[in-house]
Amino acid sequence: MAHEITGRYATVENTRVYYDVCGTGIPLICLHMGWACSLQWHHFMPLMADAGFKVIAPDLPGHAKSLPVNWQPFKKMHDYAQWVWHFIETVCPDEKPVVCGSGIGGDMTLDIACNHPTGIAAGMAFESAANTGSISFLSGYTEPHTFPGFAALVDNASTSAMHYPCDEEKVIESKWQHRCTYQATCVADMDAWNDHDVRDLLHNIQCPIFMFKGEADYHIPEQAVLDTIAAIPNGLAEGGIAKGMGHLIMMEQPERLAEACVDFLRRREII
Amino acid sequence: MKFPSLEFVQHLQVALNDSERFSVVSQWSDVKVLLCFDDQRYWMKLYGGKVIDVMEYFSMANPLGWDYMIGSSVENWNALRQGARPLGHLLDTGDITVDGDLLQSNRLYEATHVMLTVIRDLKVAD
Repeated sequence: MAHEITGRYATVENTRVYYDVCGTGIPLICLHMGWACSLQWHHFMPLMADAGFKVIAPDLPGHAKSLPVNWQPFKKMHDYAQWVWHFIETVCPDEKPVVCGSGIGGDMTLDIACNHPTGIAAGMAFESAANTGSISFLSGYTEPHTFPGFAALVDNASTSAMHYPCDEEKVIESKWQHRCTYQATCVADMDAWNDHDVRDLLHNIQCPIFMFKGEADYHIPEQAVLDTIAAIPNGLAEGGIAKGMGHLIMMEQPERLAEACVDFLRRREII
Repeated sequence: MKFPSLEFVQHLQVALNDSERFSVVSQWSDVKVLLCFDDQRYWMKLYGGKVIDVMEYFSMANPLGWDYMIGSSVENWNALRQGARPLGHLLDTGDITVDGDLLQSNRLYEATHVMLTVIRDLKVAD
């Protein structure tokens, strides 16, 4: 790889946070999915660094090597998004980054675009929509004694919505990428996913937005993605359904995803 | 062999006992599982990594009872077996239900998942 990924730490909201960095140029913040960590982006990061970005992928609070703020995982999507905003202010002050994210990371991307409309150059939200929610039955399973086989649930839930047939190595790697997060954080991620609703704020958006969803990802209805694109004003949003891809869009087809992102960012004159 | 039928469940037993993965993930099992296809119900005893017995199940007629059940409509089971819907989606939506002693079923989550995968893939010969 021409661009190496380097690990760093910062302090955000009085809490130690880990993040990966790759390349130099316009900051591109990559927000991972629920239950996952920054490892999820390692195929994608060098591709975007090649396109002229300083790619930054944090472990969200309570995931992998980042501690939870006040020792509690976030349960509200807006709290998560505000933390990301403070992270951006810390690691790339006085710069206007592109923000991308998938799953809960996509929800945070849309939340930031709605609540900080002049603060980012563009948003790219994958496997996400203005209003999300699917696995609603987990809230009672925060404590380990309630679900002794939770690790197996994570393994299966994290890979079941990939597009199959799929390279078996990627399936196994995806499972490992979801094995660094504590059960209580996983449950809280789903609470935040179910809590997310920015439909009434979409009119605030002032930057270009790219929405992309793998066709095999059953966690998010296609119509929710298309409705979100249609509801963002002034033709700022585009995107759609990605054929041959599933839930783990940055893992399954990193080259195709990077190509689509770079095409969008060029047409919108971000690069 | 019809689906569903006792013969199908007997073939399921053979397939699970041939599965190294099932043996590993159910090694410390000691449970009675009820498989429900609409109102057709079958009883399976899992012990020590194997399915050691199967039979048709009739309420009150089986003094052993069951610990947890896996059930759905035949229509949903066929959607799974024909590839029309992914297993994860059927589970997430509750269209395939796991109920009863959830502490046991959640402890044996992976064994249950393997069982469902084998039900999905088991061929029904004419």
